[in-house]
Amino acid sequence: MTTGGRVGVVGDYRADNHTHQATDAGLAHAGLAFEWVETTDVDPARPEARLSGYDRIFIAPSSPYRSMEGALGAIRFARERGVPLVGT
Amino acid sequence: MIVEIARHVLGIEGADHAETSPHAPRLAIVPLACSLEAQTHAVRLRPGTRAAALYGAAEAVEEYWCNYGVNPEYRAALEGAGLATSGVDADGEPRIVELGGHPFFVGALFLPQKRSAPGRPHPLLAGFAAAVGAARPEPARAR
Repeated sequence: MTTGGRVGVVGDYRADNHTHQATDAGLAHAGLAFEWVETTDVDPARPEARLSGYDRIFIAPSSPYRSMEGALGAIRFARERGVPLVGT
Repeated sequence: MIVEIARHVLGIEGADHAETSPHAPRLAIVPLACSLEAQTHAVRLRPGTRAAALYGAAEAVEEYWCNYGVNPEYRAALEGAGLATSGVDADGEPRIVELGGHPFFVGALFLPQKRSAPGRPHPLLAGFAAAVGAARPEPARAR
């Protein structure tokens, strides 16, 4: 299985949220290392400031996000920079 | 993903999501006619798409936790901008989208992570793990 780098999982993690538990498990099944990134930590004007250390971005389920603009900034970053992205 | 492309690729200023901004004048994401909360449904994969190649099948069964979907009025414009509809439900409504010309940009209305298991990662997540980024520079734009 191919692995490499780290995934930035953009969303507002809650340990008791079953969709977040499934996200942790699903990424692990795919052999991916990951870290959660709060949407409020992504500056929509400079998403790279928080996200440049990740080589993949996963947009977590369970909207609404605390920062819709932060989530959109992360998606824009991935789209424009050619960073692999999955949104669920 | 839909709202981001509507705003920044299609240039639809103020394009928004009905869950957070139900009264926004331009809603790219709207409530589904029938809720898909905690439901399992078949998804048909469109031949020739990345999603179809990853599944290696014409159809899949997926689990949804979702009450919102793509506004049908925006679908043609989104497809025109390169966001292909690669998976549809029994009525032809979008369930998976993917952006052409990008190493891996895939969105689903269902949760692939819900049908993943140890030793048997979901096809979309396995494809995500195998994708190689393009490392493009930051585009020039007015701020």
